[in-house]
Amino acid sequence: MSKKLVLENVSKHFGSLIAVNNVSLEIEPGEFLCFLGPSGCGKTTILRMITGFEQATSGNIIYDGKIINDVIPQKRDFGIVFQSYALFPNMTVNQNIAFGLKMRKVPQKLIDERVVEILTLLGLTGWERHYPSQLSGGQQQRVALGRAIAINPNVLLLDEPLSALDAKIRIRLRTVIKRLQEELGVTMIYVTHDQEEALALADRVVIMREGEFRQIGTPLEIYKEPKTSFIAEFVGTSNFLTCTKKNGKIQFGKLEFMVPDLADIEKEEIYLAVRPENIELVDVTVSGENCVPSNVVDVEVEVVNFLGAIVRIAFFLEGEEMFVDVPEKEFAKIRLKRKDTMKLYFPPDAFYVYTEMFRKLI
Amino acid sequence: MNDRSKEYALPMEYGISSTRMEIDKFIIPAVTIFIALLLFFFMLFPLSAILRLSFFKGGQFGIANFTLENFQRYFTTSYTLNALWHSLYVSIATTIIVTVVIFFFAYAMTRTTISGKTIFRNIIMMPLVAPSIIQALALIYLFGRNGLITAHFLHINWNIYGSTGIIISEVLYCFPHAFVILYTTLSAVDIRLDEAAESLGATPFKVFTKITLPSAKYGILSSAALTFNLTITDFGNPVVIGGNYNVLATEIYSQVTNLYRFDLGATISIILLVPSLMAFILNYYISRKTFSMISGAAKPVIRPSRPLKKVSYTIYCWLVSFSIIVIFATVVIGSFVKIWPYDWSLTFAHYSFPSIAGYSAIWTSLWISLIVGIGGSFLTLVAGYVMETRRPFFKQFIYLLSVMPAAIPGLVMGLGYILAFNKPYYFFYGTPWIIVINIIICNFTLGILSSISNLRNIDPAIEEASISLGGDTIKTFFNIIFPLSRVAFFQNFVYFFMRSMTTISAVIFLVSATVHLASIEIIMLDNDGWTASANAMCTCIIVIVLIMLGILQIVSKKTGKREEGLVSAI
Amino acid sequence: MICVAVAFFTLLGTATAKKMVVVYTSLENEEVVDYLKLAKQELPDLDIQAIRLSTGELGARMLAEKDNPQADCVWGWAVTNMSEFVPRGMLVPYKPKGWDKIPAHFKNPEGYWTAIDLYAAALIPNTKVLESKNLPMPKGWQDLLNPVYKDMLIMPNPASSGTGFLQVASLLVLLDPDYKSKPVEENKAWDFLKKLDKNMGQYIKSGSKPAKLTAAGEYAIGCSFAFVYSSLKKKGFPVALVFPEEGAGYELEANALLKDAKHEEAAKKFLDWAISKSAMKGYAKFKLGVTYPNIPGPKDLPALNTIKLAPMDFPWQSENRAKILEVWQNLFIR
Repeated sequence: MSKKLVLENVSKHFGSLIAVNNVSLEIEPGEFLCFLGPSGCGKTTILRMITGFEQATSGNIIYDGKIINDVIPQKRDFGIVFQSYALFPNMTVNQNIAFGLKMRKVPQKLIDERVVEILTLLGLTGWERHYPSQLSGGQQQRVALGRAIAINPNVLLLDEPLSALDAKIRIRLRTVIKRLQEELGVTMIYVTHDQEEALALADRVVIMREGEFRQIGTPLEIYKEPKTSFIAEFVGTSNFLTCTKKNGKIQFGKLEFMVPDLADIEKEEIYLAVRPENIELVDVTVSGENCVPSNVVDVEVEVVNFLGAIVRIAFFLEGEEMFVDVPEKEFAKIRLKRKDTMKLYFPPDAFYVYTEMFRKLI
Repeated sequence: MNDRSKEYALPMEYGISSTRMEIDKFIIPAVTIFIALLLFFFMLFPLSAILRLSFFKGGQFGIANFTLENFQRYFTTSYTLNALWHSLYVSIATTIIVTVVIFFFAYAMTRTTISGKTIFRNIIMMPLVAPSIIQALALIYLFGRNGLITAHFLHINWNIYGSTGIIISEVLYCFPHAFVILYTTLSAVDIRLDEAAESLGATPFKVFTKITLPSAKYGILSSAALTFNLTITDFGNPVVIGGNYNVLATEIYSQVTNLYRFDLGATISIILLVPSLMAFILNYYISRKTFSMISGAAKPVIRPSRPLKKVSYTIYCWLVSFSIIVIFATVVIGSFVKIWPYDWSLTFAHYSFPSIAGYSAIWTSLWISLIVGIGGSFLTLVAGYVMETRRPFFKQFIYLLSVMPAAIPGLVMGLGYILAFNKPYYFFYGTPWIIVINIIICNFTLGILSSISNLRNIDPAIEEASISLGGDTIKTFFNIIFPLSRVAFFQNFVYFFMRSMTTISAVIFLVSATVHLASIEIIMLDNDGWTASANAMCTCIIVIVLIMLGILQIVSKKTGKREEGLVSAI
Repeated sequence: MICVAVAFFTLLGTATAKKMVVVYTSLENEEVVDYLKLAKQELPDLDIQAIRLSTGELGARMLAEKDNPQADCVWGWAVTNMSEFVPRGMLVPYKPKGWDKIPAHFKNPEGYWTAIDLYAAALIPNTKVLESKNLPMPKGWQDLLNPVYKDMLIMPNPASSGTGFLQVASLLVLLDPDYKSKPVEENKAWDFLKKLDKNMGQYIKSGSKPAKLTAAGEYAIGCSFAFVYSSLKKKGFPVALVFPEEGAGYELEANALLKDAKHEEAAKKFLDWAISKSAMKGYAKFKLGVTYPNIPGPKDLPALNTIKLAPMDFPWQSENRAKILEVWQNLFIR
């Protein structure tokens, strides 16, 4: 059953506040799509418009070729998992999961079979007669999932479902969700502010900010090629350098960096971003002869942070605090300490170039 | 596209019924209209009958007939005008006394570490289980012309009839109502403010006057307004202990029943409405302000009180509690004493009521109260649901209608009912049903406010979850909202039941040859001079209410355990 | 659930195959309980629903229900009030079975009402209180003006109580022989009542309560009526009975059929019983005199023919009832 969900110039205004500003998107059937953005960016509003709990101020929401703006939520046959799980406290796990089926007047025998199926699928066998208050957070979330998929929806919408859980459980449930989606082949629309989650789960990620789509792409694309400085900062970590373009070269304080593709940039003030893991340690992670000389600098180690698989070293460059990530295995060879000098190499193609900065550098 | 999806597919014929959803569109509007009509017909219409009779000659509506003659007559007749001054005097005096006494009582509950707080809290609420006449009955036995204390212990000539008697009975009657408000207020106000002030060097007196009192000011005003309203509209106590001292409530009754003057009765009703409405509006305005102050935050631990403070407050609380206990004890004991205060032998004789109705009145009161309890709490739950979660059209208007009953004195409503519904085509007139409706409407406000407040505790996502799964309004309500509101339902049931068993003012005009109520029988018996039997009837009512409270405690304990997580997991 | 309850109770109501009759009465509650026991025995197929209201309240209620009468008949209501209702058109003439046996001066010639009994006013002192406060035993109304009785007297309010009204009316005719030829407010009796007012502790709504409060020791002397004395005496209260030597006011109590009665047949059956010999025998246990000839009154009260009665003028007092009450209210309600 291939049913495409399309957002066509959708906007949502709350009085004078524009929550969603003229966005368009085509969601492929069976796709795992993530809306990622900070609080207040409009991602939940979009979700609510898709589910039918909010009406779009303008634009169309199209499903399977039909405009569904005015279709009541009950008739949309979408499954929803809420941030607060919203399990019915007065019903057992069984009854919660069976609820949607009962509303559809499915015969009891079929309901029982299906509930057993779902319990097995989610690893909840044995908890049928328990009440939500007797379950752990992770279990409750699984029941919420089960309840939503029981009616076999074509689209499953999840509104920050894991934000209330502990880190470890979150990771475990992430796997459950991903596996579920692959097994059922259902279209998954997932809203979150946790970029790690988005990158781990999604086929495609939509970065949202202030009611607009800033970038749509695969996790890899978003990570490797952040279109705006905001995305560079929001997804992963980035060091930012405020530079001036002079005579075809980039000046950062007293340093001059070599950066490719500068020709078409007319502005004088430009911003460079570079990820900590892309900065190399000369003669440790990269051989000195492969380095463009202008991009090599000597800096003093400020703080060494041991993060497990990588070591993050803080340093100052032209008065700005920055970080470089070194794999632990490599770091073990050199064991830098505070006040040691290290030679850093900024590969030209590691820089992201932006003409606008999303906020002032503090 | 994954083939596994077919394994989990639901056969196509199971979908959400379109007809059910179509009908669902009309449910909320239909219920809203029903409630609006209910309030219109059973509250505004009787009220308009009273307005009509007092402002228009002969009750005939029309510009030509508009007259202020009735009011003129009222204000120029000294004995009717006196009723107004008497009412105001009594109400103001009661308000001052109650507010001060209960403030310190509530203070003791929330700011000191005296022991026995649970006992005190229960005792102070006791007046609620008896009709607002028990105070008068007891006081007469103790301080009447032949009272145990006045005539037999102290041998003085003074007696309690008149304004003194009314004030003391009303004070005791209003204790529980004032306490609820002041207790909540003082609990909500942060003790840490007091402690912060103390740590900055303020003396206890300064802390009290500059911190504690001002932060409780809304609660104090609210409680004062409520007390004023309760007192000025009360009928039961003044009619028994007022003697010749007439107040507005007794005057309305006497005009209507003794002198055939419905128009004057209606006029006095309007006059009674004015102070009562003002107090109500003040209270309403204040309660909206204090809503934000009351949070569910945990109470910080109270520092142990100094011994002097502890002792004096303990004594104080015992004194207050004692006054309430004495009232109940007198009435109960009085019902068994052969001839008070001459012959102290105990007897059941007074329990064979020398009245036509007797036990059938108790039976009638009981089943009417059960219906009122179930009907009232169900109706207010539905109304609260519609108002709070579904936001229908005209929400503000219906909300206004819903809070109006609290502003209208019961006596006035009762009179309005006879004026409005006394036509052959109102088949419910003269039947128990008019009483059921009347009591439900008169107590509608607290019921709906309590429902709304309880419904706010339910995670709104739960309703959305139900909707997303195909639930319509009715199914969501019965499968989810109603079970989750069990606590609210019980609380409301108790409230309606208690009010129904003990109410006097609203129904005094509505009892008939075929419908006798226990609370009114008390007055009838007292009128006839069978005071001991009146006490007996009162005791019966108290026992019934206590039994019902006991049953409900047990039931709610049993069903409460399962559903701890009423609010979502977050 | 509510629907079930409604259905259940409506069925319960209709299930009783008895025929219902709704009776309004101002006979004392005590009496009614007794009479109804008798009635239920002798009228087994009637379901008698009665409500007892004081004389004034009864009239008010019937007026209120004029457009939608709830009662079928009136039983034992003061003739003074009843007569007022004849011209109002709220009564229907009905001559119950055995009507001829009742003497003419006890019934309305067209049959609008039939009196069943007579009761008289009496002073009921509390002997213990008199003793302890050293007060003399009164012999009549004039004695009550004695200042030693200050605040110790209690009398019914004539607006609500038939007893109260008949006491005031009796004084109006006793103390001013020219009462007929002058306006009510100029009657000499008002001066007496003004003086009496100084000794009055309270005017109370019910006719029997003054006696009961006096019996309970709250007052020294209650102005009430004869029967309540014997009821209290039996219960052991320290009371005495004094018929005022000037003449005891009295009132007749009567029955009538109401217009637009919902259960006319049953009402007629009840009214027939209400003047039957056995009913009268029942009344005779309480009332000073019954209208059925040759039935003696209660044993513990003096016989009717030994008591000096005041010369009541029922037509006059009925006609002037409203005026009398108005004057009284203006003078004595504080």
